[in-house]
Amino acid sequence: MTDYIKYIIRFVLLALFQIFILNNIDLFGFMNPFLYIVFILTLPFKIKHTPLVIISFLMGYFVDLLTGNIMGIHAASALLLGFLRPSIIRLVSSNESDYDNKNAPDLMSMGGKWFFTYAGVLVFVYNFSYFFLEHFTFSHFFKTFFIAIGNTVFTLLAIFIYEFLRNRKSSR
Amino acid sequence: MQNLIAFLWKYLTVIVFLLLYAFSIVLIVQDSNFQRRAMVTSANQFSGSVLQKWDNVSGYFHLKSKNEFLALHNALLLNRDPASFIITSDSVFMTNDTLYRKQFSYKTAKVISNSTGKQNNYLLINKGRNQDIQPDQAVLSPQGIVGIVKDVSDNFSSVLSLLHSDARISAKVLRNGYIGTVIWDGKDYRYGKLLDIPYHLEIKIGDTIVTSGYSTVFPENVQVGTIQGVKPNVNDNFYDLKVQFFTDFNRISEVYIVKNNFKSEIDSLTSKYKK
Repeated sequence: MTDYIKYIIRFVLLALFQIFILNNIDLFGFMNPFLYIVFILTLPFKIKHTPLVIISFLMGYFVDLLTGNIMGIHAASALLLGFLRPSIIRLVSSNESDYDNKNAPDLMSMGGKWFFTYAGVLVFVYNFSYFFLEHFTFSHFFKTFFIAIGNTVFTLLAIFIYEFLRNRKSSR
Repeated sequence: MQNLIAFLWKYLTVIVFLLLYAFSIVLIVQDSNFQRRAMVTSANQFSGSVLQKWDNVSGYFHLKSKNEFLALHNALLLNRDPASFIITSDSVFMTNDTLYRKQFSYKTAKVISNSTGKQNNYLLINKGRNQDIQPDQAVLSPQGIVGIVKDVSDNFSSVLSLLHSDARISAKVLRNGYIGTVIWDGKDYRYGKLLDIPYHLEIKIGDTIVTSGYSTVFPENVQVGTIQGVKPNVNDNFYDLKVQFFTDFNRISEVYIVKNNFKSEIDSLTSKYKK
């Protein structure tokens, strides 16, 4: 039960931090680290696929509602992220024993290399989806593609800083 | 029936995913739907008052450049003042105030939120319905054109910036009066495009673009930008003209809202054959 409350508080705090602070960074005019997706990335392994998809969608939709950009792009991208998460976990793990006794796919329990590959793939999927939905055209493919790559690096950096801080707090 | 339920249950996640994805795509495609409008107006009131407080503080840091802008604009207006002209011809001179009817009224407003990096950019200004701001009024900066008022709440308005994929401004080349359309291609906030200028006309780099006055929104001869690049379009007989905007969209803080006092009269006339 306390786990549920912990996750609800994390959901709200990450979403509000994203909406009111990170979405206003606009580095080079368009780069914002999408830190809030770390919530979807680090949900427990044992969560079922359908609730995962629905929670991802709700999180993206919540961010969309209060950001005031194009409606639906965070929702669609977060949804895709939640849908692909189980497949990517299977893809980056060499066998099931990698994670069947672990709680959640986060930096602390899975180690740096595993988490980097896992987060890297999913964050790229998210950014790719986000920027192509925002531009809504493939006509400037490479420009959009490089924006997505740049923002992936920026987001990964934010996610690692977040995970390191969370580690330090809980190991104390 | 049981088979059907079993089938649906097996693919429940995929079905939920596809349904929600379709829902998001619909939201993206019809971005200006009812739900968003309702959200925008209520969010305006909340985020508007927060941003206003912050802007009251940060406004002091830009006072120097503000004063320069105002001095510049005062000089421009003094140049148009009848008192700064002398009469060189004494044969015919007549003034009759009834010849003039005021078509455009100007109000000032302060920008409290702005963006330039997105594909569809909006500004938020600190005047609204209570200050007689209505949708479809023009928004200008001291340097030139900014956008069009889109939604109004009681004390704030959201402005569709010229940096928006839906923005189309009727404009003309000042030197020779050719009419075209200014749009933004979503790449760089300093540059836009001038369309619909046929290839046989003569256009030079450095030509000034101003509004045409063919719409009921913008007054005539408001500065838009200068031509920065002239290329023939390979697909049709029109130019591909690159326009550098006069307005620095990254630094807008004071804007003018322009009300066309004859808008409803003109619209009632044209609505008859628009149907």
